[in-house]
Amino acid sequence: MKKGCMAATVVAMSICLFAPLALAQGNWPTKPVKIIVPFPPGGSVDQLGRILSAKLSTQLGQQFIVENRTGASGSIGTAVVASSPPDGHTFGLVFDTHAVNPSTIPKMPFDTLKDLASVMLVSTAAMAIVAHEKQPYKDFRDLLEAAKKKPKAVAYGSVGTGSLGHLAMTQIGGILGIEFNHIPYRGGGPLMNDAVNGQVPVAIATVFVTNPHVQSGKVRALGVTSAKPTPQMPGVKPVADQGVPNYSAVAWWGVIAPGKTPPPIINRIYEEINKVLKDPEVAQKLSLQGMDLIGGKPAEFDTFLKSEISRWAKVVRDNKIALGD
Amino acid sequence: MDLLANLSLGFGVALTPINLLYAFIGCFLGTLIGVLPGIGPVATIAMLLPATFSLPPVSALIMLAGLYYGAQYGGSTTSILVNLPGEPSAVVTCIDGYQMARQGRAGPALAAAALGSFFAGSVGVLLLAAFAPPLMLLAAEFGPAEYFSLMILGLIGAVVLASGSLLKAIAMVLFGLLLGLVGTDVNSGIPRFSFDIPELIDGIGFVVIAMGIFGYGEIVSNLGRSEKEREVYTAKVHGLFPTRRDFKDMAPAVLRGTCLGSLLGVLPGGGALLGSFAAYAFEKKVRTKPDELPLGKGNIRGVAAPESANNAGAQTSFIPMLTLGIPPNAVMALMIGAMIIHNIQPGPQVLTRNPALFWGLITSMWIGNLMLVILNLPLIGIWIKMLKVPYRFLFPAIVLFCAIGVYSMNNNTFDIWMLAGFGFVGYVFIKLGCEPAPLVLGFILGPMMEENLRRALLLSLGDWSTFVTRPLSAGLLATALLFLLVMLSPAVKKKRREAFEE
Repeated sequence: MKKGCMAATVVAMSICLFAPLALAQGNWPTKPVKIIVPFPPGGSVDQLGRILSAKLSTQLGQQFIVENRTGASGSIGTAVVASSPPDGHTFGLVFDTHAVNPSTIPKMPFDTLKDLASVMLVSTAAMAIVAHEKQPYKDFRDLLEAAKKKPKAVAYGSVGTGSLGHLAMTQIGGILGIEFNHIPYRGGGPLMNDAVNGQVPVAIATVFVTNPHVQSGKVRALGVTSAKPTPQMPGVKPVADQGVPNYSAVAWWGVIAPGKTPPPIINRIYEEINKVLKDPEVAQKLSLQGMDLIGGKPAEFDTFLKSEISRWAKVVRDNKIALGD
Repeated sequence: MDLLANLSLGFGVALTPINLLYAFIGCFLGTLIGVLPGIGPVATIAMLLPATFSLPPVSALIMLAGLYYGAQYGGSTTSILVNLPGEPSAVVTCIDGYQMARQGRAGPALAAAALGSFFAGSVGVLLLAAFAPPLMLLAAEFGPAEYFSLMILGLIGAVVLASGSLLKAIAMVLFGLLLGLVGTDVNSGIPRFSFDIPELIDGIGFVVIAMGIFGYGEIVSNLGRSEKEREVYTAKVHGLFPTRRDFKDMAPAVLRGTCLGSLLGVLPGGGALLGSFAAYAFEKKVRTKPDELPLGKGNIRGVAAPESANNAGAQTSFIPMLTLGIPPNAVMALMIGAMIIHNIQPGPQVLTRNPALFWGLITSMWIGNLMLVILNLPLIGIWIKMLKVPYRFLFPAIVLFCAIGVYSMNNNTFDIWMLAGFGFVGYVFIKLGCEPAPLVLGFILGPMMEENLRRALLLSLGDWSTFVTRPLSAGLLATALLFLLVMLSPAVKKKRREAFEE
C-alpha cells in the first residue's frame, strides 16, 4: 500500500517535472507562432513568409504571424530570432545575406552558428550575368577574354558591395587572376535601370531580376551561376561550363529558429513546411518568385550554411571588402 | 488612334461597378490612414497589402492605386493642418500650407491642393498614355554623370528656397548632407557614423527626420507660447473654399507645377521630389503682385504649385515601370510585389501580355484622383473642425500618432528615440530661425549625389572629364553655373536683402 503510494507519488512528481516539456512538444504549437521576416513587405523573403504562414496556420491550427523586422541586411531581424525564447513559437526566414553578414557587419549581437538553429533550406536561385544588347559579348567566355586584356577592362554592376553577385564575381576573378571593375548599386531596380539603358555594360543579379529584360531583348544573358542550367532561363549555360570549372554560387532562402529550440520541434516544423512545399499551387507561386525548391533537411542546411559562411568570409578577407583599409 | 483605343480599353476595365467600388474603398481607407501623421503611402500600402490577396488582380491593383493616392492626399492634409509632411515631396507644401492654416485659411489651402492635384493628375495620365516612349528615350540618356549634374542644379536651386538668411540656408543644406551620410556607404560597404549601432547601418529614415524636425519641433515651440497666443490661430477660421482671387492666383501656378512635375517625374529615384521642390523654387522667382503675400508667408501659389508637380510626377513616374518594368519608388515596388502575388510577372511584358490590366490601372488612377476630389472637398469642413480641438488634446494625439507611425515602419523602438531627438533639433532650429526645408533636400539629394558622382567616376576609371564630355551633363552643369552667377549678381543680392527685411 505504502509502496504503491510512493510509486504513485514518484510517477506524479515526474509527470509534474516533465509535463511542461512533454506538453510543449506534444501539443505544440500552444499559441500563435511568429515568423520574423528581416526584410520589408513586398520583397521575396516577405512573400515566402506570407505564403508559408498562411498554409502553416491551417495545417497546425494556430495562427502563424509574419513580423517584418527590417534593417542592416537582415541582421536586425535575425538578432530578434536569436534572442527569442526557444519554445518553438518564433522562427525566422533568412536570405543569402545571412551567410555573408558575419564577415561584413561589425559587432553583430549574436553568433550565426551558436545562437541559431537551422530548420530548412527552402529554395535557391541562380544569378545571371547579363550584358547590354549593344555590347560585343556573346557568352561568358567572351567576357573573360575581354577582362583578361588589362585590369578593370570590364565594368559590371551588382546590387551592392558585399552582395552575393559582387562576391561571386570577385571569387571568379580571383580564380582566373582577373580584375573586374565593380560598380555597386542600391538594389536590383536601379541596377537594371542602368543595365537596360546601357549605362553600365554588364550586370549580375538573380535570374528573377534579370529575366524580364533578357526576354525583352534589352540585355543578353551570358551565363548563370548555378552548377546546372536553370529551368527559369533555358538555354543559358552555367559559368562552370564556360571557363570556371565546377563553379557555383546561388542565392538562397532558409528557415531558422532560436539556438536552443528542442530538436523534436525543429523536425516537426521541417515536416510541416515540407508538406506546404508539396502543394502545387505553392510551388508555382514560389517558382514565379524565381525560386528553385530544395527543401533541405536541418542537418543539410547546417552543412550548407557553414560552408557558405567560411567560403564568403575568405573572399571578403582576401579582397578587403567592406572592411576598410 | 492608339491613345483613344488604349484609354477606352482602360476605362472599360476601370468603370465596372465592382472596380469602382474597390477604387472608392482604396481612396477612402488611404485618406483615413494617410491623415494619421507619420503613416505615409508606403506604410499604408504595406499594411493593407495582405488584405488585397484574395481579390482578382485588376481589382487588387486598382485598390492599391486608390490607397496610394488617398494616403498621399491625406499626407498633404497633415502637412497643411499640423505641419507634418508624410513624405519628402510634401515638405514644401508645409511651408506655405501651414502658414495659411495659421491665418485661418486652411480651407482654401486644402482645396488648392485637391484641385491642383486633380488637374495635374489628369494631365499626367494623358501624357503617360500619349508620350510614354519618347519620354522614356529622354530618361534613358540619364546615366550617373547626368544625375550628378542634375542634383548639383537642384542643390543650387535649393538655396533659392530659403526666404531668410542665405548663410543659414547653406548651413542647413550642409547639415542635411551630413545626416544623409549616416549609414552604409554604397561603394565601400563600410558603415559611416553608425557608431556600431545596428539600427544606424541603413541610415536615418526620412520619416523620422520629417516628423521630428517639422512636427515635434513645432509642437514644442507651440507649447512654449502662452495659451492665448496659440488660440489666435484657431479662432479665426474664415472661408472653406478658395475665393475668385485665389483661383486667379493659383491657376498659373498649377500649370507651371504640372509642367515641371511631369518632366522631372520621368526620372527614376527622386524625380517626383525634385519636381515639387523645383516648382516651389520657380514660384519664388515669379514676381509677386503688390497686394499678394510673399511666398513662405502663406501664399496659395506655394501650395498649389508643389502639390500639382508632385501629383503630375506621380503619374509620369509610371513611365519607367511601363516601358522597362522597373519600379521608380518604394510604392511602385510594392505594387510590383502585389503583381507577383497575383501571378503576373512584372516587366516590360505586362503591357503586351495584360493590356487590360495595364490600361485599367492607368485610367483607374485618374478615377481615383476624381474620387479624391469628390471625397475630400466635403471633408475639408471636418478637417478644419479638427483644428478647433483644444491644443491640450490635439498635441498629445499628434505626438502619439507620430510615434506609432514611426514605429510601424520597422517595428523598432529605436526609431521612436530618434524621433524624440530630432524633435529637440527641430525646436532649436525654430528658436534659431533656421528653415528645415533645405535640410531635407540636402538629406535626400546628398547621398544620391555622392552615389552618382562615385559611380560615374568608377565607370570612367577616375576621369573627371566625363561630366563635361557628355552633352546632357555639360548642359545641366552650365545651367547650374548660370543660376549661381545670377544669384551672386548684385541686383539679385539687393532684392534678397529687401525681401528679408520685409
